[in-house]
Amino acid sequence: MTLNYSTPVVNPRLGSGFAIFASTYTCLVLLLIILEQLGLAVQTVDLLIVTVPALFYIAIGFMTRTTGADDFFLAGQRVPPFYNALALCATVFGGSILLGSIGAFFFDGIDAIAILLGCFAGLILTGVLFVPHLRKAGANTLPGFLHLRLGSTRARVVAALLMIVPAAIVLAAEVALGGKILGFLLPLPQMLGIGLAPAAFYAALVCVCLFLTVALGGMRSATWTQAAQFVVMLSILAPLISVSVMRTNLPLPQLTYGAELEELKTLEAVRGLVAISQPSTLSETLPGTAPSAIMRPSERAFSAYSPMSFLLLIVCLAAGIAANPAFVPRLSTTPTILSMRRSFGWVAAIAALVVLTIPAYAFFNKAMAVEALVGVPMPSLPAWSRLLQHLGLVSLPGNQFDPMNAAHSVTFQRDSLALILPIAGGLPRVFFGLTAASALAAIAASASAQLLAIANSVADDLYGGFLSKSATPGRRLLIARFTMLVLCAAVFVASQSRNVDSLRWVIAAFSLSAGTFFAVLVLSVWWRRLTAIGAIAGMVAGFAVTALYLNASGRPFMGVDPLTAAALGIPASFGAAILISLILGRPSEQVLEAADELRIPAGETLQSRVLRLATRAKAQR
Amino acid sequence: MSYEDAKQAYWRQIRRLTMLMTLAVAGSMLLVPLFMPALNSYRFLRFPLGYFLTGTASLIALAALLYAFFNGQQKNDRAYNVTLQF
Repeated sequence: MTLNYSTPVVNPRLGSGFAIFASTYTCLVLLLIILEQLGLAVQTVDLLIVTVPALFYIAIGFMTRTTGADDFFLAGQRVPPFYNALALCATVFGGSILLGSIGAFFFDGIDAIAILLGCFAGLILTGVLFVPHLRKAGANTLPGFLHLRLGSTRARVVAALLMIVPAAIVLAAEVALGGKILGFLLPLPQMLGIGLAPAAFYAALVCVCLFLTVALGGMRSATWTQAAQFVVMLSILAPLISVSVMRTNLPLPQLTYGAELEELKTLEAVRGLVAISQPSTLSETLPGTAPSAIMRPSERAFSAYSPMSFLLLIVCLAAGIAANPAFVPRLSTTPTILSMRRSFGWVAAIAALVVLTIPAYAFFNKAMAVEALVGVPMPSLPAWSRLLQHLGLVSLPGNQFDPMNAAHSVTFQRDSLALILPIAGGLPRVFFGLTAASALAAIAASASAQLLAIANSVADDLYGGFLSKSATPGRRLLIARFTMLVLCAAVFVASQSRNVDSLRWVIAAFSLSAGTFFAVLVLSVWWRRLTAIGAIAGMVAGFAVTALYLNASGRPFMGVDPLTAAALGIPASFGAAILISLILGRPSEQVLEAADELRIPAGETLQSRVLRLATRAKAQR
Repeated sequence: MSYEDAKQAYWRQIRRLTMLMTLAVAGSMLLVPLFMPALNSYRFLRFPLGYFLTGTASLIALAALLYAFFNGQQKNDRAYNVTLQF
């Protein structure tokens, strides 16, 4: 028996490459701080801090261009554990989750931890349920994995078609959010002589940047840009730590924001800010895109979401992330099984850092905003409140004749809340751009992962695996790039719709991927008896139930909120997959053999076994 | 022990480990938050205790448990001679 032991060699100069990138970025920030003090216009500061990292991503995308299918679909399977973890964390905690959860903490108090716990639990669950087995399969995409495990082209095609929906929803949400954030920093298109509406112009910029970063190198480009984007995301710590030192004398915001919670509790009591303290349904309570005032207490548990909504939200997000078609290929990109385990060790540590940091950021932000703005008479408002209003971050209604009336009706916008902290902390303008740049990095990381997931699946599963099985790798790469182009155009159009609510859309998309794929993925690893037709039934049933319930109106069924529709979709999917598998036939010997192979994390991968057998069959003919 | 028996025994060990870990994930992510209202009247490092346990302590505990879980898997691989690892 010949075994494929060729372990790809990791680039030994990666560390120095990233060190150079990180130091260049730090130098840029420091330089801009100095130039700002010397009188550089704030518009130029904003422009540079956003465009330079974006040019870096495009340059990395260009430098990692490839014509090899291995590199394009799985980054050559030679990503070291730490960088794989960085890329995975950057994609999971995308812009919608980052900005959306900061907003949710702001409006809903500590209950919003459910969103972050869901993401964290999803990553841990992936590590527990799928790590060695999916690496052992070595598939390019989630549908490709089902094909290797169940030997069925039909299952592969169904999965490839179904996965487009959740991935495209996340993509559109991220692009719309990216356009919104860019609007705070870049000049209006009219000033550049471009006759587009501002929203369309900024969203188009995001789409073009996304296409340029991943089109040339596929997963390889995505991996290295996402790792770089995580470095930029981390720069959100700079304003946070500065503010933490100013307010608590300690540079450890993750452990000191308890004091801010205490202060918020006092402020809310003294100024009478709490108008609602009873939970209602999740869809109603989750803050929307419209500007709104603070009405709920900061630190009363289950005052925004009921315990059931809280738990179901965690379950849906966790299952949705563990079975997300955009994250599953990440489980095949490291050289060995051991390095995949190591990678998830890093994932746990990095994700824990992110999950500890986001609430710290949100509550420092909220404490400063509430202290200075909410319930404060007009004449006592600080000078920077005018700047916030000018930038469109808050609205301070009222007039000088009735100053007390205005005090309680300060409204904030969910998606731009994170930008308040550097201004409220009195930091140099660079930090405002830095915060926006890290949000944009998160947006780009998540969006490029979803873009790539759809394009790779269309090229490898629908085209290469079904329509034209003899397609050359070059042809598949061309199809993938063409799909990206079409997708970018489609997503640009979708992001222009008025009612894009990025947080809700992302939660709904994770719910959808949980309902569709979680049960089938779990069963394909942990239940030998699963058949292809059972898997198809499971995916279709889960997708149908989740999608129908997501769009349902009227009274919630058994108290399940539409956003957590996967709570119904996952059981439906499990039920359908198990029942149909048991009723309709038994899996063939080859399928059982693949199931057994998957259990042993050694030897050759399923993917290379299929390739070897195909080569041998061709030689015999 | 025959090859088939060894394979079965290996898989039983892996399944047991995974079940334990899944229970730990479910416990720390779904049970701990339920104690928030009861514990939030106490404070720890100026945080409400229930929230601190949910949002900080259980995360760190779970991350540490994942290390232990992977160590367990590696040890199991070695014990059953799954050594041709790529």
